[in-house]
Amino acid sequence: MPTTSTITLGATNSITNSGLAGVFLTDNLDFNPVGTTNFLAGGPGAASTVNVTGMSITGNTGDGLKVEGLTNTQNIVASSNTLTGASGTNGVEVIGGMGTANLTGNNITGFATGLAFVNSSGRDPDDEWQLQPHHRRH
Amino acid sequence: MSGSFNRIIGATNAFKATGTGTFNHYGRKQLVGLQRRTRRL
Repeated sequence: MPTTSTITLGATNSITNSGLAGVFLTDNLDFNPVGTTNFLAGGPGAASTVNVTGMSITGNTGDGLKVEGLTNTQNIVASSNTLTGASGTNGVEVIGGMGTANLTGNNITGFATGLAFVNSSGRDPDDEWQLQPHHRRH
Repeated sequence: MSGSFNRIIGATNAFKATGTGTFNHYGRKQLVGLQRRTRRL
């Protein structure tokens, strides 16, 4: 939804068995899962932030968290969450130069890729990612 | 994107960048430590 207000999902919420993504934040909603309204007809979504804190997102066959910013900044701030993929593709996926994710203290388990960047850049400034053995880095 | 104190478990690829995407990871010391520990066992 296009909003400049910050949305917060907390520990009293949980998401299970999602298909596309547990949480998907985008300014480019070019599909409509319910009706025929074209959400892009009025232009891209405004800059938005979603906080996801202490939440369980499990059984995903798609992404755990997905953020896409093509025109306006779309920011997911995720702290202390448990993201678990069933046959999930990406634990966290960041798409586009205006998509951002700030991740602190999350457990990301069972996805084919932990963090995926599509036309987007990320860095680990603090040397604080904990990787279990048998992982490959690209 | 930025991050700290996160854990990635059981992934085939911990990090992956496609298109014009990039990821700079400075956690090499931690990875080397894990590999050395495995060899000693």
